[in-house]
Amino acid sequence: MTKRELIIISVERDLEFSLEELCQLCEITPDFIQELIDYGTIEANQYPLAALRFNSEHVRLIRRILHLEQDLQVNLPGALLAIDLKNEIERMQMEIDILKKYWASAQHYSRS
Amino acid sequence: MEYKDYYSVLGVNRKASADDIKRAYRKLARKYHPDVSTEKNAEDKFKALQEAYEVLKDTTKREAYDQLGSQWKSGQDFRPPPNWQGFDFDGRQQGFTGESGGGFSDFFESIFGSQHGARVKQSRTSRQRGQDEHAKITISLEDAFHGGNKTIHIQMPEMDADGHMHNQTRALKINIPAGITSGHQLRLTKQGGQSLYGGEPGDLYLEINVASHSSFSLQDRDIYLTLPITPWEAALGGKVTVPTLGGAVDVKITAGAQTGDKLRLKGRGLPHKQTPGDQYVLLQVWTPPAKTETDRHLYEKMAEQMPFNPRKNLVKE
Repeated sequence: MTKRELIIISVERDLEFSLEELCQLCEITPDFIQELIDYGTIEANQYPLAALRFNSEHVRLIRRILHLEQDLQVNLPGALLAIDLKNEIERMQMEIDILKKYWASAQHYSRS
Repeated sequence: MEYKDYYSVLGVNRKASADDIKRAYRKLARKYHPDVSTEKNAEDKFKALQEAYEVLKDTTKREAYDQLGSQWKSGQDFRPPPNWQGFDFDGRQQGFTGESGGGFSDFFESIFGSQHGARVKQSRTSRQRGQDEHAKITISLEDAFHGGNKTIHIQMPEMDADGHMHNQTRALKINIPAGITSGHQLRLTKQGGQSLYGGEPGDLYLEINVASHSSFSLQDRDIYLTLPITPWEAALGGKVTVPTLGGAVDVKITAGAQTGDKLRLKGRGLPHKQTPGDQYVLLQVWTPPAKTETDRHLYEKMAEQMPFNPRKNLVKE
């Protein structure tokens, strides 16, 4: 394995994608996006599909769905359910982290 | 390079049947799939699982692997036997969607020859541009807060002069925007896969993961910190110094504060254009031990002069 040092100038942060760009990046079709809208996973305002704008979160969501479908043979509603549950778990884990640190602080005192 | 014991990765013995192997893989894949797993190091474990399954599910590959002998241990220094004919497998896998770039391990490649792309995508269009690549990096909470330049190392599959795909470690210096949160994608234009048709390289997308911190907790853009205070600071109020990611701040505690009170330090959470997060300080009163006679007298006097029953409403009907 060789190493190569590179200086990166451009790091784009607040990424915004058109429908076409999103489809090309994630290698999906607009039909797939329509399905996600139909499942209520992606909010579509009144605009036609082609006028929608997508961001980092959409890229991440789509990649997660595709991974689950490919790696675990889950179908689309199954993948969406799994992702919803995982998100809920992560939210709960953040709360637990706060409580754990609170408790650890109290215990630290009682032991010192 | 290190020997990899694929049987132990899947938790099966060397005589396991194809069904045993499939069952073991499916069970573990469900548990460690990085997009839904709650296990630590799920990604690394999942990658190892995929590689082990790739070998053991295929009779030819499994035979070749078994030929290396069963005396090796995982992690042991390994070299392919002399006259080993690298099996040149055509690199079409079913959905190896490994993240953090890279294909299979050096060990795998030394046994089975280089793969023509660990992840072969069926392109619907004939792209002139190289593939867009995705990788995941973990940064500290401090880095997420301050942003700034950072050098990261990621493994990417790259084509060498012979047209073989190899894992290469790339060192990239990137600028992390202040206030970035987990899940966000950074795009590094033209840093992705090389074009096979002389076109431009694809882009590299980095997914950010913010590591947990020893003292601070993070929830969305808000920071949480438990703050121990004395009984007199709580009862009488006072000024205390509170650490934040942006430096220590003085905070006024109002008289009558109690354990569990939540103080809001506006704007002291993760920065953001429109609405920066806040820092919440959770008060925790620590009572000093009564070490001497004087201490004991003080406490006894308090008990005498300040009748107080904290358990009055303990169990509500």
